[in-house]
Amino acid sequence: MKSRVVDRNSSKSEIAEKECRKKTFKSSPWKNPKLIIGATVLCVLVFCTLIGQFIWDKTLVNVGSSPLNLPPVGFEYRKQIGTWAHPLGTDNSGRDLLTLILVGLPHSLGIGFVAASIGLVIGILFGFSAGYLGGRVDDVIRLLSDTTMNIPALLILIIVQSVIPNADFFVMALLLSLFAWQSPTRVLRAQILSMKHSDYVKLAQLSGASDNEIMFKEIMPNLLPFLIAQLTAGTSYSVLVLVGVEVLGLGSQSKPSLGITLNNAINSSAILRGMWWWWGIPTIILIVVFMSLLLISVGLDEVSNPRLRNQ
Amino acid sequence: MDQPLLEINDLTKIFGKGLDQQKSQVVALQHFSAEIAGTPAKIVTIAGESGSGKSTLANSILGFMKCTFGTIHFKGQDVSKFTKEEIFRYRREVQAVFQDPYSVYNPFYCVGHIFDIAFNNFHLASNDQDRRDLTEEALNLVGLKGEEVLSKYPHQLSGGQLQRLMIARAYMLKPSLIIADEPVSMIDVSLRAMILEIMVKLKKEYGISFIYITHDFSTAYQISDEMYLLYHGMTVEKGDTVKIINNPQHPYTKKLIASIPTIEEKWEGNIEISDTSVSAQSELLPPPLFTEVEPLHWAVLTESN
Repeated sequence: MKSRVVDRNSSKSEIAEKECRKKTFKSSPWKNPKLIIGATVLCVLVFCTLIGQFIWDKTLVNVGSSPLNLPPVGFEYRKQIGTWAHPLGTDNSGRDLLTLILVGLPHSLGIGFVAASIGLVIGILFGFSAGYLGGRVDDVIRLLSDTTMNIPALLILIIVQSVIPNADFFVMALLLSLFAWQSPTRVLRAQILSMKHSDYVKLAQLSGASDNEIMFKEIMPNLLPFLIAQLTAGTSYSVLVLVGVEVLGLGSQSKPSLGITLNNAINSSAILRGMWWWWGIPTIILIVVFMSLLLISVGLDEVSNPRLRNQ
Repeated sequence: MDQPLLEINDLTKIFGKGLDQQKSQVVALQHFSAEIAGTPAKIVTIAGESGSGKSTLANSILGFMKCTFGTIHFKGQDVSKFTKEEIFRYRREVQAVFQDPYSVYNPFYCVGHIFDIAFNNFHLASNDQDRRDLTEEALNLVGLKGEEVLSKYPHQLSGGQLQRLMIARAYMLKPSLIIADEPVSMIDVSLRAMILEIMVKLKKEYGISFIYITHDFSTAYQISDEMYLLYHGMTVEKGDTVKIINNPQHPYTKKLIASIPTIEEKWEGNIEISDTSVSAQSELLPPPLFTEVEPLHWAVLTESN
């Protein structure tokens, strides 16, 4: 009789242990709908543009390579009917809009991502040293990040662009990264400061855990979503600034991008002439990109903060 | 043979700020000496108001903080001269229960994680069955069941449950000393008695000594055997708990005891709030001179006595 009771207890706790493992590693935190939707949309978009690079004729990006002012398939504009040769229409200099997007989107996203990555690496270095070392190092880093954070990126970039008119991919990424390191620095510093003295780090020490174990098993899991959230937020911010500069007509004119396409559309009064596809389609693409990046950041925020999760 | 479990001698901690160490220093704890015999197990209360150096003392004993001078000897060995392996062994013998049960758990893991890291690092069990049995035994002691709590996240449990889990974890390691840093101050009053009963049970049945850090005299009176009273980092009264509370000598002790609200009396609210209790101690004073008031009761006597 007694042994049966013990058996039932142990099998119950076995089930409990399995449930716990399932919750931690399989389902709960990372299966966040916002995160999944955002990541899926962004992946599909990036994947499509990358595939499109290979199957679509990239020379159509050149001026005069296509008929002028052609509307998208299924629409008519000034007695011209859209054709499948140019499914998203063309602009007034004979550039195929689909090609512009296929070439321009990876370019803009790439610059944003590289800028955010550089910013994140600087942020990790500065944030960890400020958080751990404290004292003077902390004071200097904090002063630097707090003051530069309030300088509007667009203003500085407009001035710099007038000096370096044709900045290429990496120069542009480096310039943008000047404005992408402050936020990760601040966030990581704050996180490390609070985690360094947290009771669960103390408890892990009392449980005989080594420093490495505390860093990687106790602090890192809680920091990882922050890092990725900072990366996506940084990418989103950098792309926004980049598009802003390009819409103003600055930035590299040699490579097509979404911002430059919008600038051309504005300069050629596309809105007045009723050529909605010229400015509309790049705008929709940008909205989708920003929305998916936002969903990823918000989703990651919920992953890193269990209290935001639905119970 | 009769080596005390923990012997603290003239422990002092001074916090300095900036380059000008002289002017802005704060003396958190000064000339603290105490001895905990270990056999028979005792509950020793360290009492005092906020900022009186209680937590500094706890952090020093646990090795989270280096003291300015003074020594802590554990079973005759100097804690500050421990090697890595000795620290590891010391960790098993001296455990802690913290004040805030909500912050002790890593929010990323289920609460069972606190048992897992202890098992993994201290190699307590040879197989999964042993692990489950040991965990279950510790949990049953505090009135919990493994399948009900272990797979929950910290934010899904109540403070009382979390604190009982902490005690279960500490018990599972079979330490000789548990430092309980205000273990009941953040818990519902109705659950306090249960936590305190568990502490007394661990002392009586399993021979685990406690250092019970609190500002609450009534709970200290209930459970503790000895008491050290801290005022601005200085010990002002020490000895048998019952004797101190029944016959307080130092004006500060008297004031603290008078300020305990009782359920029989209507609160008059005529307690003086003195300025001196707020300001931090910035000077290191000479060691306190104790007078033996009665057997097992020492106090620092001032002019007003």
